[in-house]
Amino acid sequence: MGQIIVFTSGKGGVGKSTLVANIGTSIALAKKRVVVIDMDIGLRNLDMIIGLERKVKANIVDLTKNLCTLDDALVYDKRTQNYLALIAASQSDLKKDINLFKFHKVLNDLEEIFDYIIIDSPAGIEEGFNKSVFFAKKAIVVVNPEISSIRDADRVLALLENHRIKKEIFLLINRYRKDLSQRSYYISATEIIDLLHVPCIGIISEDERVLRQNNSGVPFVYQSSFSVSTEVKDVTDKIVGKTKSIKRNAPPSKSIWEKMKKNSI
Amino acid sequence: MPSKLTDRLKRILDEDRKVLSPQSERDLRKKLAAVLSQYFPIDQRKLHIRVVRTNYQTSYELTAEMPIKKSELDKEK
Ligand SMILES: Nc1ncnc2c1ncn2[C@@H]1O[C@H](COP(=O)(O)OP(=O)(O)OP(=O)(O)O)[C@@H](O)[C@H]1O
Ligand SMILES: [Mg+2]
Repeated sequence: MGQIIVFTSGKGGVGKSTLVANIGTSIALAKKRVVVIDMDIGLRNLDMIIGLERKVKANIVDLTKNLCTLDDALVYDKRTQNYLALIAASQSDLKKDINLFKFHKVLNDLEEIFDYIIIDSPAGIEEGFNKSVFFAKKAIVVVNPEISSIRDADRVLALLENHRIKKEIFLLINRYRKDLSQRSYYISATEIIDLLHVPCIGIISEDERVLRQNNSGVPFVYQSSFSVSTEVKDVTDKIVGKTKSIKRNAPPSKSIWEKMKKNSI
Repeated sequence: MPSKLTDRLKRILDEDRKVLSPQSERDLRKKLAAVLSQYFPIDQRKLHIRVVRTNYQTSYELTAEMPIKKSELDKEK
């Protein structure tokens, strides 16, 4: 039975879709069946980042309205030998057009086919967020080392931890500049983990080539020489259960980055 | 070592996670001051309390700063 994981953040533009595209691809390259679902209804993007936009014929709203079959909505990625599939968002509907009950049914069907069902949540804490996180058993909160992103993540964490469906919750720090981590104006990864009291599943560096890859529709994980690719691979290993995450309330340590890299905690 | 920036952020998050209204907090402070002063030689007017929700739904955290009465401190000198 597949595992439902949601990527969410509160604040917009922190890299949820980028990371869903790359972690999804990376899980697929590890020969696990994975489907990524774009829940940003009205602001469809994930298909472009992965480079599958031309193959999209139907979307998640069509599916929940029974306007198409699951096969119509699933777009497979040949580069991963079809281990990766995508269900796109609709560009013309609204967040309210997804019925939660019907969405649950779609997820149940997907759980039979895939090992991992990864949901790309929209920004905010309103309807789209609520529907995206509702049935997930694991939530990954993407956060940037920036006060507004951390504050929003804190708010989202409170909502997730109070949710009636219990969730395992992790932080994923994105756009991190290790070279700035000792500067007084910068918030280090250790400080973020201490402030938010949630285990951290990974730290992804800031890298301008991410933008280039996003624009070209080739997830950066295909570029194995990039350090961001290795970092994403580390997160993948944790998701598929090869290694563990940094524990909640981990003692502050200068070597946190090294620990993450060695997957030793 | 926590920087000025993380201190500021911590204050913001604490404020966001606050669980009592100012009125209830004053009320609790007064009651706690009365109880605590039975056990500690504290200056009741200077008692400072802070209630936040840590780890979200799992627990509340109460911290109290209990300044000792000046007369007591003088005695120790
Ligand atoms: N590690 C990174 N290094 C550099 N740029 C990045 C990184 N991760 C994401 N970006 C850039 O950040 C921008 C926002 O990314 P993305 O669209 O994935 O965020 P999002 O959280 O999905 O946004 P939204 O809330 O609007 O859905 C993009 O321009 C992307 O290229
Ligand atoms: Mg997005």
